[in-house]
Amino acid sequence: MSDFLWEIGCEEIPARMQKGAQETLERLVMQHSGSLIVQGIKTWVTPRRLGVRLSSVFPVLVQAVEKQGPLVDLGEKAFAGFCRTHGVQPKDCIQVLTPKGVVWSATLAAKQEPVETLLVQLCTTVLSHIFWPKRMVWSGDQSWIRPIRWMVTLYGQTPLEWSFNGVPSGSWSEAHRLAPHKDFFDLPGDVLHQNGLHSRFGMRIVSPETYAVQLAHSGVLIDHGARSERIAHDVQQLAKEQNAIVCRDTFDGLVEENAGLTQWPVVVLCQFDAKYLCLPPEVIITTLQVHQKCFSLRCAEKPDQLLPYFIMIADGPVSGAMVRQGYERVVDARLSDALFFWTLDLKTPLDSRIEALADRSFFQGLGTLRDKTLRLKGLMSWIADHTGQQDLQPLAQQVAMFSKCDLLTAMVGEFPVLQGVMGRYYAEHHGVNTAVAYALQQAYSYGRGRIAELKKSGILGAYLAIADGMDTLVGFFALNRIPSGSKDPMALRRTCQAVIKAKVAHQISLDLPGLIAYTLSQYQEQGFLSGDHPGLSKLQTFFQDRLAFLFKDNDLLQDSSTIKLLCTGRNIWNMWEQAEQLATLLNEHSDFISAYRRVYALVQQMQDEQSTHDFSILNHPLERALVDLLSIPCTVDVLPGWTGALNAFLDRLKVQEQPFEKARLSLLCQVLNHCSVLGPLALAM
Amino acid sequence: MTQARSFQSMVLALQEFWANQGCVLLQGYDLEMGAGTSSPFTSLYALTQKPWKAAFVQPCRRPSDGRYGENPNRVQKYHQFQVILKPSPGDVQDLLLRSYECLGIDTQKHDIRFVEDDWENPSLGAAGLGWEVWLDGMEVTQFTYFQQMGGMPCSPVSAEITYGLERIALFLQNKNSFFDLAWNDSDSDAAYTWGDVALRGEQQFSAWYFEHAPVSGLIQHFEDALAWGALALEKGLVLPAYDYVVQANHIFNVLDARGAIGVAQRAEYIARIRHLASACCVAWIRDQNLNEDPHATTADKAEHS
Repeated sequence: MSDFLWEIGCEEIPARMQKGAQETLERLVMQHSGSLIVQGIKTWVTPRRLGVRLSSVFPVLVQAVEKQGPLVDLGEKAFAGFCRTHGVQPKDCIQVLTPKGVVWSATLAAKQEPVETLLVQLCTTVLSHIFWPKRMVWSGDQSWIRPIRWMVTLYGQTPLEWSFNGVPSGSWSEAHRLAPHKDFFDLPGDVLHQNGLHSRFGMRIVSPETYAVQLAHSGVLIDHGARSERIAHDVQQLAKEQNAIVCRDTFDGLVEENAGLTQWPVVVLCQFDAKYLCLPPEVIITTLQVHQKCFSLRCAEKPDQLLPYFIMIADGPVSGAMVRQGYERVVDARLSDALFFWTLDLKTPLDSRIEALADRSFFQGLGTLRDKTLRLKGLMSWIADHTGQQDLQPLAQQVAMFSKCDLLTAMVGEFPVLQGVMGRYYAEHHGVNTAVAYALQQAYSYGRGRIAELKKSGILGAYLAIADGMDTLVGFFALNRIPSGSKDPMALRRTCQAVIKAKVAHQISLDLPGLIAYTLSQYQEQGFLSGDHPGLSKLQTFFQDRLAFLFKDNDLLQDSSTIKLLCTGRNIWNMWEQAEQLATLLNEHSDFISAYRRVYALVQQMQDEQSTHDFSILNHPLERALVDLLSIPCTVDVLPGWTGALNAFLDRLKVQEQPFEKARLSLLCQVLNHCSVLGPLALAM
Repeated sequence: MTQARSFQSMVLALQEFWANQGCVLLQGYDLEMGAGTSSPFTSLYALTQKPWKAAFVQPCRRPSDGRYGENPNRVQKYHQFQVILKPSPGDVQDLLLRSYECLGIDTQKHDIRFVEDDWENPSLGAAGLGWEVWLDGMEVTQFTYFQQMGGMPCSPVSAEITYGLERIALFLQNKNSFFDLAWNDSDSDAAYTWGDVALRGEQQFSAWYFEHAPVSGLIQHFEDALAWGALALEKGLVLPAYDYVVQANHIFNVLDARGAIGVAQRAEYIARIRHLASACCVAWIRDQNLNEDPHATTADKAEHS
């Protein structure tokens, strides 16, 4: 009984996929190792390998079993076939009497497949089942996330012989690319060899037990979690030494990403010129964290103050001074660009940009961005008016007028992810009202944000998300450019979801057909979209589909048929509330829902003409209990009472019993009506 | 390493290295294009079954990146060293690292990283998986295993290596500006910097692309290019048709630099270019199959052309 080691060596696995791959590997190995008895499992991942170790592996013993074969009367040929199939000698077979007649029978010996065979089967199965978000081919016909270049499979100290897509398995594994640094890694000198390749140093793995240590000595920390811990710890330690704290925004994600980019993480402190600190922090943080995958630092005493330092994570014993110089050069070039854009952009007053929007087309047939801006002005005003917020109209119009201006700035040209954010900064710089400036930024958060968080942002941003979204949706649907299948080049689905989320988060009550009609009229006043637009009639259904998606995405409702029923209603704006009510009932009052379902099923069979309001013949205490409950308003507080009363009634009384049937069914029918104030319960039946 | 390599000696070193790997050394394609991938020697040649190894410098035009020569590392015209290897060899990453060594980069001292960057060129209907290669944090090379071209799967798979020559030169010469890079190895009077060679172009083309290029005329040229491409394709002339794909792409880039294309409009332009590009790829594969099939008769070929 030995341990089993399997390492799949491949070219750099994308950092964001590594943890998922490790989990999948573990799950698949467990799932497909039914023919083996395994004491324990451990998996790991680095940019260049994915591995698993099974401890104390041995094959499941297949017990001796008696196998019955063909009728003796069927003759020699059938008998020979039986022997061949089961690998038994004719002399070992006996004849037995069964209800079918006299048949041949053999006792198949207990057997054990060689463990090596079972392990190779396991590996082959797992390799072809493993899931990757993307796959590629490189040679041969198998696909994987990146090319597989070597494999190690050891059962005890014995390498297993097999191959996958032309890559033979053996006992050679790759060291860190910088492993020859003897002063850094504690290498047994004679172990390392190049395997014919210039940059790939490696070693012969002796056994599953020595694997992790051998790798660690050659510069590879195999455990993703251990690398993450080292990065998180060292980054914080280094920051502390600078009297700084590490920016928390996306800290965990950045740690994980760096753990996925390194096999031997080493922190290096770098700096940039303090003159760049006049830039908006979002610009610096985007440059450092998103583009360069480095950690930005804040002042420990004044946490909203960025410091002109950052920490990069090097891989292995590179020359710290050289690498730092390289990173600083790249960051300096990027920040220098950003500073140039920032200074340039500030010189242009916002008002003059509104005119310049006339040079930027929105879409053929839908005018320029200036046309769009003017439509948004009308639409924002209309929304404020129709939601009883007339006093917000002047601000809403201002938001509309500035909404597209930052798209013309050099900074957004360079950092498209900062659209909206930069709008806010430039507006603030030019002395625009703070609520207006923030609305420019917040309108962008509705596309991806969660409803719970969006509730905290201002109403003007929500208006802009709705107005901008409706303008785009109506325009494209009128042109019959409707998303189908995976084709949604204009991201209309997300746009539609943003509109819904803005509406729901701020409980803005608007009539959808009215909103569509007004949006269209704005286009037509400008001379666009004249004539009929059959495509536009599909917009309502599109909204329903997006709602259905959001119900699932927000874990409100999961059952597709319930969602479908809910979404076929006319007034889609109320659906969210209904879904919330229904979700609460389904999740928190499932006993009541079960009882309600029983009633619902019974009453479904009842004909209308049978109904009555005369309950005078119902005198049983279980009946009176229901009648009494009908006299008090139905709220969630009384649901336990309803649950008990309904179950008792249905368990103990027979509804069809004469002469009570008609009255009892009518009573139940009233119960359904009475409880329907809780939400659209019928949809979940 | 005695003296940092000049820009031109880098090219010579890479050419020698890749020639030794069996590559056909070509000259850059003689049309304006944004990247060496757009060269038919990359895109169309990657589509067929026949092995193909080539290397060439491709001057690249990115009109929107023009900065009138005032930005140290943002220019409207720069140079890629493009390598295409079909089928992709098993030691291709190793070859790349060796080529760095021969440029004078000590791969044992610097931080070289393969960072996920799946490549996609929507106007060519092309996609591949790979990385951007970071040298001490600077992206110096794009490495891609082609999976699709003109919407069709690539088999066998090509590996494409694209070196950003200017960026590597910054690194090697320890400079902060493209314009200060030594272009040749001479000192004194005969010494030329990158700026000596390219500054006037940066200034004049930036002004042209951003301020003067006539929008309506360009739109007409765009339409013409697509129409002529379609016409050439009708006559069975794939390579001329593909040239018009390249030209339409460049005109689109100029219009974009002029700020004449809205966000929503982009997709429309790109889809039209891709449509022609895909048609070229389909026709190219069909032609190659016919040419490689010894049983195809002249009549077959005529019928298809």
